[in-house]
Amino acid sequence: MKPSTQKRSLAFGLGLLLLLAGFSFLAPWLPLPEPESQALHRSLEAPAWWQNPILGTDLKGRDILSRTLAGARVSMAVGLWGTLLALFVGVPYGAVAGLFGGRIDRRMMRVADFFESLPLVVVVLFLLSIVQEYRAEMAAFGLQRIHLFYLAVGALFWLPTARVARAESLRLSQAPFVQAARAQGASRAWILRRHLLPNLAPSVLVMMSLTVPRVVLMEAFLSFLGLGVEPPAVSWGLLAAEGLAALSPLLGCWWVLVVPATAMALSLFALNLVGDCLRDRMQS
Amino acid sequence: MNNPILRRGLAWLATLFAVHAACFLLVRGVRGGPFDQERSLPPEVEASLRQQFHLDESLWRQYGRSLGQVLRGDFGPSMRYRDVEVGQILADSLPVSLALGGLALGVALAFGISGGLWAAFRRGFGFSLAFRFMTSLFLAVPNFVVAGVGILIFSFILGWLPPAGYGSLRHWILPSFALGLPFAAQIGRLSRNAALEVLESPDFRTARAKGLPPGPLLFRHVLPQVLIPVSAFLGPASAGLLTGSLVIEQVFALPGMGAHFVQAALNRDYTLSLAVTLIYTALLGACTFAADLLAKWLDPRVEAI
Repeated sequence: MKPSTQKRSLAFGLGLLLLLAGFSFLAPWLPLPEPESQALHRSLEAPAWWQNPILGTDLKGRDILSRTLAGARVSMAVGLWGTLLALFVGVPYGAVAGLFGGRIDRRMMRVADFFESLPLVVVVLFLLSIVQEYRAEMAAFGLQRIHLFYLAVGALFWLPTARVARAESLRLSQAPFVQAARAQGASRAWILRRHLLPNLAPSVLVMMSLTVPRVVLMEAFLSFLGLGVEPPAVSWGLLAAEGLAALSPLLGCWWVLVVPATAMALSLFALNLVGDCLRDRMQS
Repeated sequence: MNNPILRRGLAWLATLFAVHAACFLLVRGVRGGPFDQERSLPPEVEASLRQQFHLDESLWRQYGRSLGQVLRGDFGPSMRYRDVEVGQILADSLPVSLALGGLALGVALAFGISGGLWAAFRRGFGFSLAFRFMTSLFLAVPNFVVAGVGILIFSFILGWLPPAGYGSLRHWILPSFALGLPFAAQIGRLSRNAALEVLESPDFRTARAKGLPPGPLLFRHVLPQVLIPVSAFLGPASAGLLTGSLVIEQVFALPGMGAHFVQAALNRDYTLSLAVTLIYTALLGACTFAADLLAKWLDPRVEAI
């Protein structure tokens, strides 16, 4: 891609994201019905475009636009928190492996290989279903399923971050300034804190922008299966599941599926675009 | 231990062993059994059920029993559907899942490679923009949305294909496309980039200058180079296909293993979910190994197996 095109598509992606985020955060002040308020007599109304319901209602008469915007907040929060957790685990792991090198590095990477050889999604589903049993205890600690969910997503996505962080820190630990620090007798902890981690920031940023859309997809996937975000909270995965359930040849109510799907596609497209552009810039 | 195939095989067995032990411990350690129902069973019935499933023995004996069963390929009766052996459920559903995965992989490879090559040969601004848009779109939407929109268009509006179910060949078209298209998008990007590199390489220019017709040009010069990055992607893709099939089987009501697994996880059907987790682990290991062998065969410079 030419640099000018790249810059333009980066701006386009960021602009689209800002627009979507702005709308979803302003949603409580917009003249829309509450996302959870049911009106059974207005079930499955078609989009009215210029008045409420602007984009139609679902099976229980809830406003689709309002629900999609509320779902955006949840999905984006899950995306950000899950990604931060994955980075929080993966970056130090990879950085330590790359800095120490040798046998420690080999051992740590063997562990990563082991996790890579697991069908992690299946294992996480299995774990989530087991942890369901302990909901009462978790509630006593103020934990909800959504917190578990962040953990699960973090567990799924720390591997690629760890690999990137390891490669970067292997490269950095051969760099002259790190060698100089080592020659002056700096400890490994010091080198890690002062030299490696700050210099990992750009590649971590790229990694983050590439991970957020994958986490959002994973959220949609798990919520779709009924093991993610729970009603009455809404997320795009749940909305898409409801939309799919409402599809039938008799009613033909496409808007229940198409509206949240379009919102999801647009924002994931924008996120992917931003991530790809940042990565290309880093490489060039 | 220098034989890479032997090493991979041993690592694979060790992984299976570890997964079995971890799942077994988790399942047994968890409170709340599969016999919890809305209406509690009489204590005698529950005791005899527990005895029947050997839940009254010590943990070690249960573990030994479970390991022995797995080694014999016998997973015992399902804890939820009590008249059915887990082995029977798997025997019924595994072929469905394998067929779905295979078809989706076929869709991904066929559409991905041909689309990528086409995009590499036609480098107009509009066309490459359209290609980028299509691939980004399919990478951005989850497969169940692809499935939903596909059902909406091809089943309800056009009425060409059945919206769900299992039986004739036509039932397979929508599921395999819904599962395969996101991977086709990824493969398309990979093969377009690889093909663009070949088109600018000196050997391709020489071959073209000496007047090689397009057929041999494509099959002898471009395709081998394109297949290398694609084969490297097949390992991660098989993991993704496996994940995706969980959802696609639910959407289209296909009686595959993924659908059983999700139900088993929700039903706390320990024996069934343990068996499915093990089979998925084994499948994933086998698929990544096959993909690595393929990559090595296509490009002998690749070292890691």
